[in-house]
Amino acid sequence: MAIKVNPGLIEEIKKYGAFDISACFNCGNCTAVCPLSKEKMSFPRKIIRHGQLGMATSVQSSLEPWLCYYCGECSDTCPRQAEPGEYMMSLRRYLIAKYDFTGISKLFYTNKYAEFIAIFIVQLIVLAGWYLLFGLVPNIGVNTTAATLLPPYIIHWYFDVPMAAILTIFIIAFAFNMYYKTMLCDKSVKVPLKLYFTNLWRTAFESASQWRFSDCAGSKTFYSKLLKGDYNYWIMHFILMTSYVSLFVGIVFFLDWFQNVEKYRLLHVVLYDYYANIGLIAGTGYFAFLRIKKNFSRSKFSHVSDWMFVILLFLTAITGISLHFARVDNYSLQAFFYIYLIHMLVAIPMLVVEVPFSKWSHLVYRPMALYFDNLKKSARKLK
Amino acid sequence: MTDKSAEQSRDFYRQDVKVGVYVCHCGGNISDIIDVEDVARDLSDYPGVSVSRNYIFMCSSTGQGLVEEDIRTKGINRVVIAACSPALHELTFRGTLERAGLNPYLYEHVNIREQGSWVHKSNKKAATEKSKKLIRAAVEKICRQNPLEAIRVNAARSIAVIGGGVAGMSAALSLGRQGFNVYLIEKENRLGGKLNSLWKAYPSEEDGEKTLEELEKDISSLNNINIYLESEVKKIDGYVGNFSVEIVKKGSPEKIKVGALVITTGYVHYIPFEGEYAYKTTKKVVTLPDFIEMLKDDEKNGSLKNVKSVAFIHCVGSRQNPSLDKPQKDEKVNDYCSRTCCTSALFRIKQLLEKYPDKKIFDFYRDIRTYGLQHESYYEELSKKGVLFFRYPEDTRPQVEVKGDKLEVKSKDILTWNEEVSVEVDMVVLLTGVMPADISVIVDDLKLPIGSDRFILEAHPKLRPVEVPNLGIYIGGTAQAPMDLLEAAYGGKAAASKASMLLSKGEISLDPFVASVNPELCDGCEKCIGECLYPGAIVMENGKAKVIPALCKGCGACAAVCHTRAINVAGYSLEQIDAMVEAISKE
Repeated sequence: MAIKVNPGLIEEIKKYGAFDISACFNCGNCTAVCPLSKEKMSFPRKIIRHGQLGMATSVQSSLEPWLCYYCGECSDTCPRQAEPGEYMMSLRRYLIAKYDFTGISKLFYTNKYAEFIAIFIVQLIVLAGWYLLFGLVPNIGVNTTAATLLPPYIIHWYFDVPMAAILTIFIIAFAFNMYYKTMLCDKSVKVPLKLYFTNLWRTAFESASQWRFSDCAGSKTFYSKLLKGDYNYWIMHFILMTSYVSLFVGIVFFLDWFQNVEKYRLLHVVLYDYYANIGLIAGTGYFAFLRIKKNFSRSKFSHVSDWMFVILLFLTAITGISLHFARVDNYSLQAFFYIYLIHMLVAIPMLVVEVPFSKWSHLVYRPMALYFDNLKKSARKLK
Repeated sequence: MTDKSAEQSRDFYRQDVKVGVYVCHCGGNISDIIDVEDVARDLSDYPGVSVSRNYIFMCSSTGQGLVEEDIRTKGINRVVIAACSPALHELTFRGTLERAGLNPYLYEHVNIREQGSWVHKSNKKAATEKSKKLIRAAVEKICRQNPLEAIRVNAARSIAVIGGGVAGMSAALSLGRQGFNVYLIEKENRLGGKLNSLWKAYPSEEDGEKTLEELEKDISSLNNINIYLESEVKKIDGYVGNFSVEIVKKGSPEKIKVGALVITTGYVHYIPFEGEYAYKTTKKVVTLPDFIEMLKDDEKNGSLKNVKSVAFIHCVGSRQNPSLDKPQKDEKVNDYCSRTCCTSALFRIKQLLEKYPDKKIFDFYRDIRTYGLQHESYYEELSKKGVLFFRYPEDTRPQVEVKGDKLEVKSKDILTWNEEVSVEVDMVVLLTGVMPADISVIVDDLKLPIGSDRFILEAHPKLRPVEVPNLGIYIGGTAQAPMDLLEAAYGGKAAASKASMLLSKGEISLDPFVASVNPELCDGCEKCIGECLYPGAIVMENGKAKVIPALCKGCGACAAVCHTRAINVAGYSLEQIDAMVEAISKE
């Protein structure tokens, strides 16, 4: 069957950021220099051609975009300045929009204002909930403490749990869609059930450590990479990710315990007060700095969603820390009340908007892509 | 037809022959293999040899000085130089002899480098012996050599430029400005050739019409350029300096006399066969020249507005393969690259997209050959604008099929791992190549060399790019090879400058190595005429053969067939050849 050429697809992908990709004349330099591209899973050239020809099914069923960590080698060596690295980035946005059958992600990525409006709407909902539960002025009596003014269990049941439920439902639905597009639709390889279990531990390790990042770096040996700063991105990303995940788990699932500093004090201080807070501030600062400096290919192009991600996370961290001090140091219940409100107005919209519909969903899709890729690889070996 | 230097030279027919032999080391190129001292010593005893020397660089001024000194002081009157190829230094040493007052043709050049040291590296002894024999033969030959005089022919200071396209106009203009009498012959009713239909042409995007007007203005300002429109060449004869060209101008014949010819007869477009890429089966498949006309028309009427998508197919009628493509009348396919179609097509696409940025363009190529300065930028720019390129393998051809009111183009695509791709379009443009115009009359009359691709073949692609072996005939423009507007103009100007160098002195000096007939021995059998490669070089006069020196190239074919040994080629007489053979075969 001849491939029916559809020039519309590449125009659609370009809406997600890859402005220059048409300049590609398919020389394959990018694939040759890519440290992660493998024979059976080669990119970016192949998927660029598929995009140019308009092979939508093949593009949507591909895992390649998730296996790329945007080291920028391809863009740096591209003879046509077609920015293949940015194309891979745009494909991730495109795929996020395609896994999301609600169309919300697409709207966020292709409309400049949509994300702002969405955040504003969620803020209004949070504010309304807050007003109904606590009012807009704190009701402070003689015996009022932080815990009685804004009881953690209320926050937990009225804010955290509904939000976590929404996120979970969307993410599971989208993840299943991804599984359908990339695994069930791929008839070229059949994965036996057993492999789904045997590949779990390997994927878990690779996802947690983001080991593939280490292959992205330029120079040869571990020490020379470390000294030349080739690992900086990986390290900072690792710190930011672990800080974020530990806080997310602590706040969303164990808020009561999280706010009870006395229990497991040492762990609390080391993990949350120091590691996570410093990690968030330093991490977001580092990435914002790179995006402003634009020295590296991967930091050269910043989509609205990229900035939104960094800025919201930074604000969440700052308000979270302020809240923590306000509570621990007990200085003013009034301040505590308002800082908490502001914190909720930043954190909840960020999580609701960014996690299932925007950049943060890669937290789910990347490990899944690794998992699926490992499954396919093992299945092929069995043959 | 006499040569002053020959009169004054020191040699006389009956004087004693004194040969000087000079063996060159060529800085080791020769002497590393051949024992040059042994060779020189050996030759010094040879009958007729007075001086025999070896020297590190004979071509250096000191080396040449040795020869001059020996001629002046030792009375040397024949010179043999054993060195490199005569192609390199024969003229150098003729000059040496002339400066010393000796007839320059009393000199023989022996090639012991290319034919000695370079090819016999493994056998130094045999190489040395071979050199000795070759030099002995040269000595025998030069002993029997008479002084020769260069042939001088008077040349008309007028030139016929055949073909009035951009190459011909450039040539005519440049010759006219130098004061030559120029006949510019064009078969159409207007000058300009294909320039008339190029419209806005790359790289300057200047309208061909405007370029043409400027050239026409310049040409008409010179009254020594005679323009022959609606004229065709019927017959050419004569030789360098004295060509006669028969022209039919608007039905009436006319004859002109010229000293040289510039052939700028140009090209014709390849016309696809019916059914080739669905050509002629639908009006939606057009050629590149048709498309240029459509673009031109669109500027006024917007006639391409409703064409939403166009496919371009490269190499139609170029780089063909006999097993895939239909041959021309001569049973041959066009296996050459037409060179200009890639850039031209991309340039036209650019024009189309500048007016209609939303049109979908699909380009099926074999190789993109945008070879000119900055032409590659069209390719890059169009890629960026979203033109989709497909590369078809050389052993396949894209297929065009009519599908309702659309056309479907199917092709294998190297860029997609040889998968078959298909696109639906409103129009297909075939990037047709070029073929030389039919000039068989001129080719036959002048015996012009034609390459396997039917274009006129130059004498040497780098060293003599606008010349043919026959003196006085120069070529330029697309009669020679596919080229673009600029290159055709360069070609015309280069041919013009060669022609003006030839004719500027009013007379032309030719090598004296031509055949001559001894009428006493000739029995009028005319075998020589049958064998002669150069028409008109031998004629019959009073029952005897006679050579016209200006037409003879000295090839010796006539001498070889003459059973009475009546024909001799000057500088290569039968007596000389016999003596050389004897010298070589002697142990």
